[in-house]
Amino acid sequence: MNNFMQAMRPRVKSFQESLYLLTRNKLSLIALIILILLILAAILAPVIIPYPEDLMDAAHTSISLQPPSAEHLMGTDELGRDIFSRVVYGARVSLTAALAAVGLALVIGIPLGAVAGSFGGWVDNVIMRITDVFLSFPPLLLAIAMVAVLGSSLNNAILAISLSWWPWYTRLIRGQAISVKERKFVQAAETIGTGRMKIIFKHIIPNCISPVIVQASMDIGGVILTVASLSFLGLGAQLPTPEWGLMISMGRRFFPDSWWYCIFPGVAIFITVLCFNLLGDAIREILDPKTRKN
Amino acid sequence: MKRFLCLILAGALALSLAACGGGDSGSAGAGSSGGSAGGGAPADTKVLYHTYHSAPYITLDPSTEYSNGIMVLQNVYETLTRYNSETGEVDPVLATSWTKNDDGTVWVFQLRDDVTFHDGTPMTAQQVVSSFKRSMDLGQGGAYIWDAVLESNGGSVEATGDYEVTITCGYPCAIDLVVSAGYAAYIMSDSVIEQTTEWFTEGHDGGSGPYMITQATGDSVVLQAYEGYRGGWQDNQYRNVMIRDVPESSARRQMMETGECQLSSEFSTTDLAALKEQTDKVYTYQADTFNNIIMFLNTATEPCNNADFRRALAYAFPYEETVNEILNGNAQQSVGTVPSGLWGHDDSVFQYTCDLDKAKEYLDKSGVNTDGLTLTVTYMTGYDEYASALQLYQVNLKQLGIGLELRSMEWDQQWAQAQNTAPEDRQDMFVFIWWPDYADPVSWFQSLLHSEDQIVYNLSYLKDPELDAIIEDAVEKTVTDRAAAEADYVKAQQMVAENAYLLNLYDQMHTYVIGNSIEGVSENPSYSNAILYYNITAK
Amino acid sequence: MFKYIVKRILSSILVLLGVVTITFFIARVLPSNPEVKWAGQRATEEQLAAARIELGLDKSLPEQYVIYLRDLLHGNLGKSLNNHQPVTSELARYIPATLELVLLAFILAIAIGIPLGIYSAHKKDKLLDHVSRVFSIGSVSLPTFWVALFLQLIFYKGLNLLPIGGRMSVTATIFESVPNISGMLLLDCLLTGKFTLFFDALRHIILPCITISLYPIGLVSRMTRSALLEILGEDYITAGHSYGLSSGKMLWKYALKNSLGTTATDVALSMGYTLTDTFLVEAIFSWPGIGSYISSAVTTLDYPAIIGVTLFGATCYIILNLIADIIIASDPRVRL
Repeated sequence: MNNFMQAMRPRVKSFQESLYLLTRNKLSLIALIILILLILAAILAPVIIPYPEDLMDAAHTSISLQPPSAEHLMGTDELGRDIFSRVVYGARVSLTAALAAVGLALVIGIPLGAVAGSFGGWVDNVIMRITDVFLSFPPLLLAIAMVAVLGSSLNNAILAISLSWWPWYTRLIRGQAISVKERKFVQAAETIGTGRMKIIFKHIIPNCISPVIVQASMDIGGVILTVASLSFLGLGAQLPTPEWGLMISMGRRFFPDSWWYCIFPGVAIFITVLCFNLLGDAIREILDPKTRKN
Repeated sequence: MKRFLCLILAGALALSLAACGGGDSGSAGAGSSGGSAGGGAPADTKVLYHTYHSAPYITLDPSTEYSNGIMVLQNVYETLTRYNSETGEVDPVLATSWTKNDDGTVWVFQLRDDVTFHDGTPMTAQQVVSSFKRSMDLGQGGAYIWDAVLESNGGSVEATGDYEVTITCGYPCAIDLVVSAGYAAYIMSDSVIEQTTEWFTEGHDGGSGPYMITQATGDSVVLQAYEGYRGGWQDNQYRNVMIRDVPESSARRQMMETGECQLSSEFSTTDLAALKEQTDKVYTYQADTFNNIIMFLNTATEPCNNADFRRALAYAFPYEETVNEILNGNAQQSVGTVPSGLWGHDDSVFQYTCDLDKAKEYLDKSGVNTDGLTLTVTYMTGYDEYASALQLYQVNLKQLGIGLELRSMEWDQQWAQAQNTAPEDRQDMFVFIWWPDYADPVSWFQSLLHSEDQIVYNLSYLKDPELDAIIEDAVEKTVTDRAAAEADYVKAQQMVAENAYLLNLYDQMHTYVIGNSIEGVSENPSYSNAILYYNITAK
Repeated sequence: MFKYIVKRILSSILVLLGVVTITFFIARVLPSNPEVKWAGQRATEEQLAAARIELGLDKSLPEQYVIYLRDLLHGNLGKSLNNHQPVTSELARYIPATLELVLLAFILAIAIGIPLGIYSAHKKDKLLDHVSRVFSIGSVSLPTFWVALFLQLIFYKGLNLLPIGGRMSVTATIFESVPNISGMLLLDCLLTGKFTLFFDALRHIILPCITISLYPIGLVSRMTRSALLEILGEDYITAGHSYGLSSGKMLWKYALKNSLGTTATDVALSMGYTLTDTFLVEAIFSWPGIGSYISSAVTTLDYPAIIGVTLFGATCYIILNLIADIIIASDPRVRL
């Protein structure tokens, strides 16, 4: 099942290799630099933004919905808060949420994949059929249904995304585990009577984790987009959190006349996701031996 | 060969997929029957197009519909009486006059003799009786208004003449108001009385009003003139009306600007401001509503069980800023619980203003420790104006050292939380909208403020015997001595405000944007959302 | 070969069963009370009890599951808690509008995406390849709901050219008898020769269609490019080069033909993604399809409707996957 989906995903090797090859392509280098800046901005957000008080509970209704100007680079929202400050801080919200979602998906996906790959037989079969089921939901739809059930909050959105994302990692690591388990050191460990679970966690997972990590880092862009989509639907972050999707959703009431309210957070989402995807694409290109041959 | 077969198989699968999509489309979104269907095809091709911000109905059952469907039903069905919000009186519609006995338990209505239903049958007392009984028997939606008339409560409805109906109540009840209700009080033809809700919702009707339903597709309704309407039809009236759900404010604005649609409301702040400037195309009409935005406080547990703390909360709410900045004047601050335009309203009832010094004073007096104190407030997802107002409130409360956590929730979820058996697990504050089912303040007091054994809508969890007594007295006097009832309600409102049992934030207003080509749009707040299209004429 | 297909179909059915089971559990662990919504907010205890029976909530979970499966086999997805209409017929009413949008978006994706991918592969690592790369990756990085707003800003606020909501104008709806054969308005208008209506409907579909087609355009062009490059890297092409065949001829005559299968699968599969995108876009354009349907179902927690759409989406996805795999399998170069 899902041969196609698997084909779409690159066959990646190790983190160092990727990083080295990456810096050779100009476009991806630019993407990398922008991303590093974004991450820095996310970390330093509370220090570098011009109006830190506008993040959570501040309001100045006398200057509401001002168009972009020198004081407010991206204008102000309906409560007179500085949109630029909120957009910059939004990088922190989105990146953390995406990291958390991917992290959680890895926590679920890696052990399952490693168990499936190294046990084989019916265990493998059961686990892989379950992943098939999860993979047959269109992305986002399962998350929508789950958040609707769990109640809207950023944490529930993260949970729902990771619950629909883990099967990818399970598949990836299973493939790795199948080959690693044939290697000498694993078989050696087996002959000296090391427990099966211990082998999985001590030998198999550490030896097949790096392509999964590379894959996960490439997925961040897609996850950011999903978080924003859920928040836009009112199923994610809660006010007054400066989350990009939520800001666009709030700004719709003032669209199109106060266009800056919706447009800038969208630009932020676009640039961030674009950079992640450009990097991902470059990695795919570099690591896929078939397209490299030319 | 094998490959060829595989491709055929793939093709077949693709077809079956398309079939499961397009196959069973009995009535597609675009609608199937044209306007020329039905008896006498009108020569008139003018269409009145009313775009609405959500689905124009949930069901079209005149006995059970309890939602937006009122905007359709008010034009298709009629009631015995109608509440006039300008005079505060009850006007006759299908009834010509009525009398009641001294204690208000027996009501006799005389009916018009010139009413015919859309199927051509004349209206008699018997049909009025069976219409009321249908509502009572189905017992859904707004049917609870018939409580006093239920047989189990000792009431009855009888035809006591061809054009006379006698309603007997088990306890005193203002039946003249009950029969004016916009829900569960419509009169329909005997030929449809046995039909199911589903049958009505498919787009059938059996009313006596000026319009008949010719098409209902879930997101739209098409109405066509009932040529036999007793009021007759003028050329400048609209014989064709289309009501359609267009959720996006910007899309409705565009339709108003191009003149495609003539009537709409619920625009976003900026869209409304932009439309107001285009006086060459449209004008606006602002209607009062009985829609009252309320914030319940969880008086069953700390810290909102402390009256002074509640007063502090009441003084911290940004009433004016909300009305002026967030709602752009599309609302007015509430005075008391009963909105203006409804009897029982009194402008002298105490109302809080935003005054942080006073709030601080009451906070100190309350002795509540605000260290690390965070209150939670829930509001309906998608109601962005609540969200903006609550964020302003958050700022004010922060100055008092109180944190406020905003939680947008679906209605069912927040209501379920409010009914949690453990009071500490309920939200501290609950933003809520309420409007009466017919023009009687009892709707607020009985449902929201009177003590309940099982929590339904008393979401401040009040158990105040003194308040209960006043409410009970008011209910009794509503029938016999309305002035005394009014005095009771004013007193009750004063108590609610002084104790800050709940916060009356603001009364909504509906701003209609109307194309310059039509006139005669008006909304009666007792029938919120309904516009009588019969009164609209082309200029 | 046939064995493989039968096996694939069987496993698809198994997966579908899994999907049904998951949706069943999502629906049944809902924290709110469906019977309250069903019976109305001011329902009495007796009415609530009756509603529980009507909804089958009085039975044990395993029993409910069996009933749920049985109903599904009869094409019964339950009734909407909001308007008590059968979800199946509601879906049937909304699906054609969505399908029309998705199919049209697909025609665009194929018409733009494939040539772009071919061109990109042909000019690999040239400036145009980079531009097309940024374009196609950019188009999959855009939040679609934002694109919808952006297009409205330009075409409505800026140019005032196109309608931004609905499927057709109202006068058309009432006075022209709107044809209803497939439920897809454009097709029906063409079939019945109603050209005024056709152009009216066409004007309405342009903006939502562009919004939705961006993602598949990007995806299809990327996939076409890498499929072509893969084939261009293979030995017989290299051999062709050494025989002195021109690279243009190689591309058109050999590589393209051989990459068609892969491209077809890409197209089929990205349809699944596109379906998801409509959920975010339809509401913004007031497009009466399943996207708008699920948006309103989500805000009112109408779980039979949410589950109905989820099941529909998953079923489409599984079937498309199956088709894709069968296409791959029918490629003679794939050994099974």
